[in-house]
Amino acid sequence: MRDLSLMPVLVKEFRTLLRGSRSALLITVYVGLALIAMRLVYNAVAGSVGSGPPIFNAQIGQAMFIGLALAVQTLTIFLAPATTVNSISGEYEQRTFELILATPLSAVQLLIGKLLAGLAFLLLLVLLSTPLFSVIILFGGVGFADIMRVVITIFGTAVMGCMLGLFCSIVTRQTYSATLLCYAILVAVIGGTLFAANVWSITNAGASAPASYVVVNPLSAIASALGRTRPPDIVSSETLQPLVFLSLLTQGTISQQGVERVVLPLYRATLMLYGALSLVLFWLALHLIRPHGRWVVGRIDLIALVVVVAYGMLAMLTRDWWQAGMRSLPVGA
Amino acid sequence: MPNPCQTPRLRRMIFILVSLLLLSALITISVGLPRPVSAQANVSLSGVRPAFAGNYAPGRWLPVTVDLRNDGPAMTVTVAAALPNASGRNTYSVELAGGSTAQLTLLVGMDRQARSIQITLEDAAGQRLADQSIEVRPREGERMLGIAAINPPVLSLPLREDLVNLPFLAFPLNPNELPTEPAGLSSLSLLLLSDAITAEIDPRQRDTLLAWVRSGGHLILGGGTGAAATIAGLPPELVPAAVGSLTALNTDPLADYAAAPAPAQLEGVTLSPAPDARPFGAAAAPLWAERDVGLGRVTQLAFDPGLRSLREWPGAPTLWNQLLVPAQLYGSGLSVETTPDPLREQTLSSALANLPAINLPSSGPLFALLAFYAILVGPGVALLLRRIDRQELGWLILPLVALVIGAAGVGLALTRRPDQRIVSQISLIEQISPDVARARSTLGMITPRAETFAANLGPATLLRQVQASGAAFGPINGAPGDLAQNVATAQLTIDAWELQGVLAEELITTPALDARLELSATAIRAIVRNTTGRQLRDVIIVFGGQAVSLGNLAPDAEMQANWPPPLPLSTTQSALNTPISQIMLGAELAAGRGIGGRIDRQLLIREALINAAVAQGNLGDEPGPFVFAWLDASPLTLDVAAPGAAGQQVTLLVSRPILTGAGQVFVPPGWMRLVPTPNQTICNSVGNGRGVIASPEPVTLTLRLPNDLAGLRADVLRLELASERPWPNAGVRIEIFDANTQTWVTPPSYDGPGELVLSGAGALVTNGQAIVRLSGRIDEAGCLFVTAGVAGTLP
Repeated sequence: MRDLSLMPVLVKEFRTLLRGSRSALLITVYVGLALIAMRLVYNAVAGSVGSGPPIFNAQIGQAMFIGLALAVQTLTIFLAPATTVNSISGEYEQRTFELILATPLSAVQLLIGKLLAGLAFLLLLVLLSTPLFSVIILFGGVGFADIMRVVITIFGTAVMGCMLGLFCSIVTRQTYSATLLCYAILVAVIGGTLFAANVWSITNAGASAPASYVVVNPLSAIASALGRTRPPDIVSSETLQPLVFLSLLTQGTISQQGVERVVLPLYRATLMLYGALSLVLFWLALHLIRPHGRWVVGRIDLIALVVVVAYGMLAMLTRDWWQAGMRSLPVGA
Repeated sequence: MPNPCQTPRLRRMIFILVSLLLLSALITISVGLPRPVSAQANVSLSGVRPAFAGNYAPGRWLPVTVDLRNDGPAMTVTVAAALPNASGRNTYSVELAGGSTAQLTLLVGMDRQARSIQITLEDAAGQRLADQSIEVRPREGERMLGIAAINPPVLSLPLREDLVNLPFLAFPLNPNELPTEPAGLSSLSLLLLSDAITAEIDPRQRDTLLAWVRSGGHLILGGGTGAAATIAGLPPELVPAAVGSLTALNTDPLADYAAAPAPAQLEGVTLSPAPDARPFGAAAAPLWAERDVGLGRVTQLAFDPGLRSLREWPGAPTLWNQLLVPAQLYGSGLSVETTPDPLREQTLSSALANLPAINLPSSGPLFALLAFYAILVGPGVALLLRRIDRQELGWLILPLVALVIGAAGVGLALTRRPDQRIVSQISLIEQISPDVARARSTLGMITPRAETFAANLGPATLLRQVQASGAAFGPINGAPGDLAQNVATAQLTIDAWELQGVLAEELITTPALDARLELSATAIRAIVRNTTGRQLRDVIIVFGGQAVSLGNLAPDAEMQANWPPPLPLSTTQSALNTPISQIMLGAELAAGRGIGGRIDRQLLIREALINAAVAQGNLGDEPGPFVFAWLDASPLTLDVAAPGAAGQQVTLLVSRPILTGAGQVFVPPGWMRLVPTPNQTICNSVGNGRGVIASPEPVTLTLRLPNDLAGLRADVLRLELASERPWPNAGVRIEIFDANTQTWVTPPSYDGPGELVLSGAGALVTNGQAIVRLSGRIDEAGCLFVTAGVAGTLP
């Protein structure tokens, strides 16, 4: 019987991931960019506390939180595939893949091991960014629920990104091609959906685009998760609103109707979609990784089917929760 | 066999059971016992009487007199007045000795539509002892006339059904019980003081009367036998004429005035009007004399208004209808105000939205820590682990470093978190006499959680909720809860994340600023000496569309500057139409409001304060002259205990410079202003300023000099007439009133528009007033504008 432990792959990956200067550089860039983003937001806001609309400390905290969350999410979107995009193609390029196949490791173990290793590095990056949130505590204005929404969305994005990188790596078996494919998909998904939503809005008299246009977009998801970070109700529409930072990303998810703001919890639908996509990509990857007889159905497909069905049932049971993010915005929104 | 009762378990159960039974019995007894007879039950409201029979001017104050009776032991009670659906109450606490009675006057801040007031009597613990509802009625666009006289005269006022607008409502007042705060008179637009001994009234009552007139009240002083006693104790500003002996008055002018045969006889006193007073009637013994005081007016009658012969005269209703008019009328249609106070207080309240800059926490150390952290977790740890060739330890060390630095950062952040509370106070101090000022402050607060602030108040500070409004930077609401009167410290409750505030007002004793504009034949000199004992900042004198800035003035310091050269007559009207706030702050405001500009909120507060000091709604700005100065702190005591909160105090002192001079002087264009009569329709034009609409009837344009220059003997009068539509090319007749001959004279070779220079104008400008009459096809000209400049001799 095959050893189902993931440890061999994980241990190997954990030992090698932090070797070399690449990981240190990534950590420095990740934490440094997040810190710079936060400082820029702070400078932009704090420089005008005495002029224009009044600003409260809580709003500065919220603006910085939004800036930081957007920076972390953006970095996650682009770094997540990078952690896995060479995981299989690299083995091909180093001609070690055949050797791995010769070991008792199954495809599932290999894939999960590679995925977890990439995810672990990404989570390490996210974890390393948490001390930056202490600045937000200095200003206040952000609640636990706000932080949790953002963390869950970032985590979901990380899983999806790692899975996408892994899939591209398996499909192309070349790191260069995998990277191109992966980032082409990302740009198409992020830019294309936002572009489509904005075109829809322009051609529909400025109405908010249907949420389905942007449900797959991770930036729209984080924008909807951040949209509920409420400033004190004292402020008018003229006053600093963190939403201003998100205005380009909120098409289909948030609209301002006078003083009232409608925020769809789109991130819930996005998370459910990412979960489903990750499962499907993983299933496909299990087949594509085989050198021969790729589409022969086996026991693993039965397990995958069970998992997919279970996920479908979960989606059915929680449909009220996540479908809330897909409802159409009110007329005129 | 052992006795079951002796087993420990059973004994314990019996003990518990007995204990429970005893406890139940105690609870039953304590609940069932009659409550001790409360001492509060012996305090009662024995009378509740609203002033003015419950009628009030919308948005103003209504005094309510409450009689209390205490048949029990001594105790402190609170009388509270609440309007329907209001979140706040006006309260007044009083100590009642055992077996005593007490009377107090509670001033109730009214809204615009309340029809009842709920008066509640409470003990010190807030338990309700008694309550009573009283009916009240808002009176908008009506003439509320208080008649303060020992024996109130009966006036033949026009009936409500005979008037098109501004019907009368008259209420008798006890002259000895005049209020000691302007708020007590704020619902009245007219006050007739007759047959009263004013020498006996309190100085605060005198100040109140002066403040009420200055803010737009019309005071009518009765004449006749009681004339001397009526004026004896009044401030000189409120007495337009000296009173002489009794005489039979010439009633002929009343025939024209009231469009009825003149009364056969009318006995009164001989009035000798001051130079700045405008007499009506025969020069030797005028029927009355008028003087403008601030925004208000004083009319001193030579006769007793309650004379039987006057009461029975058919022209009496017309006489009173024309004579008893509010000094100012703002707005039109449904909303008519007789004082700009509601507008100005609304401006003050709205200014609260310009909140002060928050206290930014010191974030430098935290950012420095995080920058160090970024270096540490990046190259720092990597280099260290590479050195020992144990890079895989990074999986443990990096989270550990993040944890430690994160904890340090959170600790640092928690110790440096700023106070999120904001307290903003905006004050307007208007000097009304050499030693008294009317002080009004709006106090706005924001707190992240509901909180009660203690506010130290002046001895007679009145608090009311600010009117709810939506200003540029967000909504403002009145502070909920009780607003106590007659207390040294008020408790102000503020809801979380709401900008809520109160308006405080009080007459305060403070020395006036010594400011003068000295006129001569060639120049005008502005002189300000700081006699206030306070540091004055950015002192500026504004008048006639021009201003001179004198900078900062330390206590007792003096500063002088030349007044700017006079504007050409043709551009004066445009300058007069420029808001004073624009004259003072125009350049800075324009810079902030330009494309990409962010306007300084302190500047917006200054603009609002200036507007609150001078704005008169549809009448434009008050003419002035004004001297404005910014104070570092408000002289009105309104100290909120909120240490650590971000705060600001912006205080504007408004005073009026004296216009002086001797010998030959020139008065620049713009100082002599058009004064529309109540029946004229005002019009405005961007280029020409304020004018009056011409009609097919002859149009009378009254031009008036400031009171201080009313004694000017004019040598040359320069007029510039303009119109909104093209001036008719023929058929317009222009005349100027000659006071010497009491006739209208036609200037040769002039039928307008343009400049008219009249030499030897001594008879054309009397008591500081010139009157121009236009007739014929003048109605085709639409809106008429007139500007005047004078040169002459001051005594």
